[in-house]
Amino acid sequence: MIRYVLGRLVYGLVVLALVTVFVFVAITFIPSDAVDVMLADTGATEEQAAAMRSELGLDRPVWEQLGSFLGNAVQGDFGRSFYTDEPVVDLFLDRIPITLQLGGLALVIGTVLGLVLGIIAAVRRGTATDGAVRVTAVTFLSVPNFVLGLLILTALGLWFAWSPPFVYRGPTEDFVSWAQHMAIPAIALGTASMAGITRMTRSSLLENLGSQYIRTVRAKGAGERLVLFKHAMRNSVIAVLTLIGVDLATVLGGTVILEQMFSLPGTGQLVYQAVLDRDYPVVIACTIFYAGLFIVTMIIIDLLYAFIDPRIRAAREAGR
Amino acid sequence: MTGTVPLLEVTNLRVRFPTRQGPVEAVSDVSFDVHPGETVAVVGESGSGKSVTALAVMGLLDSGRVEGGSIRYRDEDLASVGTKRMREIRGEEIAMVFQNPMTALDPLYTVGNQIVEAIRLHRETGRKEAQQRAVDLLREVGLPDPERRARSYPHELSGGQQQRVMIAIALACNPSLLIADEPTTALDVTVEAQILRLMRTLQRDHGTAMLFITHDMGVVAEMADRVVVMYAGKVVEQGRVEDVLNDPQNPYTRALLASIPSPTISRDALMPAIRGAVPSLLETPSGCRFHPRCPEAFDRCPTEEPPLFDIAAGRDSRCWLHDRTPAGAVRGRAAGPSGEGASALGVGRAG
Repeated sequence: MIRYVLGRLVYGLVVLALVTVFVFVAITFIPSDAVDVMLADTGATEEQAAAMRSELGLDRPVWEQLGSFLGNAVQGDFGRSFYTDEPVVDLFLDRIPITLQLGGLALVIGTVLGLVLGIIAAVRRGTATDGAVRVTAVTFLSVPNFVLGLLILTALGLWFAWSPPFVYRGPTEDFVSWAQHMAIPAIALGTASMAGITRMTRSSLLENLGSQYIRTVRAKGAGERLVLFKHAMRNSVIAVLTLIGVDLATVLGGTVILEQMFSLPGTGQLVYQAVLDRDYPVVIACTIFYAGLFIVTMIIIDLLYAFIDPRIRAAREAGR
Repeated sequence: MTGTVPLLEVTNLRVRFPTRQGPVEAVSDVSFDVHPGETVAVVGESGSGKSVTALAVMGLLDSGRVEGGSIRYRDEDLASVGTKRMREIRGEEIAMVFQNPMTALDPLYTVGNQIVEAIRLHRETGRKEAQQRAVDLLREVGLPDPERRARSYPHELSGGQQQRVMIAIALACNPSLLIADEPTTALDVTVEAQILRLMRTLQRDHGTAMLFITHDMGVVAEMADRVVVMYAGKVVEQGRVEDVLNDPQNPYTRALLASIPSPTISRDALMPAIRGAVPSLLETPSGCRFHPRCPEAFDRCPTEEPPLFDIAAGRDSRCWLHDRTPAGAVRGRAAGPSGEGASALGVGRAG
């Protein structure tokens, strides 16, 4: 098992390296660079711009820039922001808690509601409740999270004359303000995962509830609660776990827009602004971090598979 | 037969399933009984309603419903006892072994855990004690190294071993009635023989009555005291195994027995088989349901449905050939069990 995890980690590092190279190259294809953005409408001359480029190292060929970036990155130095001259790592560490709070809340909301609704729909299959849950799920799957966020915001403002705070305060500083601020973007982000998880839970549970081993459990005289939670649910969880992993990527992507909309100073907002400013070191560092987070989550989910299913455990121990 | 009170008495059972084309009746008017300690085999082709009958007794029909008749177990009607009482009966009074052991065990739990679950659903037993009982059960069903096997997962066992585990689960609470739904169909022939022997031994040791569902006349001969032959949802013949096998009264039973290939059959000869297929439940034939495939059918068969004729003590057959009333007398006598050219004799019909 340890060998398996190490293998997955090495594989993850390779992916991370490929992502870095891709982003680095892709970013040079964007027309206009940081210097263009900074000096726009200042009336600066071509000579001044060239001087600035050479100061930032932007006049060197891409592969050379990439080489020195990678050299520094493996030592933990991801460079400094072109604008504030702060180390990227510091910028990032200041803001990451907010994004993790938002993303975490969204995933918790989506997973908990999705499981509950999915179980209800499966147990009451074919009834009006089941129909209502399925329609709800399809609806929320089809509405983009930023549209939903705006709709909630507008509705609350129009009907209740209420607006969430737009200045971020940490949960330890002012919990009520924090909760009010986080609620709408977290719900808007979480509903799509909720809808997906509802559908997956329902279909996976129905498949398992119709299987022969469930008939055996019933033939022993078990009640529906034991059938559902000890047997059918555990057998359905693998499919749901896979989906949660995929949702993580969607949720992280969603934070970029929603943090901007709700003025949450997280990494989403940081990366959004950095792209507009062509602040390459920040963009690249954020991308690497997001990719790393995703890879680590996937490895954890992979380990959970083995924890849940002895057949997967056995296959891995056999080195297949 | 045995003069005792039946343990299980199924009377005029009807089971319907809803389908897109409307409800279909998978079991029509089926009656039979099982006495304490005896083995009754229910035999028939796929689609004859034999498994549905077994599931109806257990109350485990997925979408089907018992539409009529009664399933009397001791002094309760299982068709109307309610889910709570039915749960107490399942596993404790009536246990079931299924056809596919490979898919009948939960893949995520050890077999020990699954046996312990069966024990603790009905007995106030501590976990330790239940685990010990699970190991004892595994030993009793003939698994080597039962302590280690209790910690195995289903995928680590062979099909035969899995079926032994299923039998251990079924016997966990010492049920009075064991329903076995084709328990050896999915297994190798050599393993089949071992499992059948095991079931016979356990049944004798525990005094368990058995309702044995099978399509295999060889298994019937080996396992059962009495046999119920089903065709298209109806009982067509029943009686003691030696009587039915040695002197089948119903043309369907005769055809089934004739379909068993003999070891002396020539390689070039066609395997004996009943022509045609079991009719779809959506369009059951008029009159006798077997008449389109029956070599002995005559003009009365497609128009009137034959009742079960009581031909001897504990011996019934559903066929117009047994009709001794004036209307059927000529026919019944003329055709006889040999059945040769029965349809050609239609002219002699009395009424």
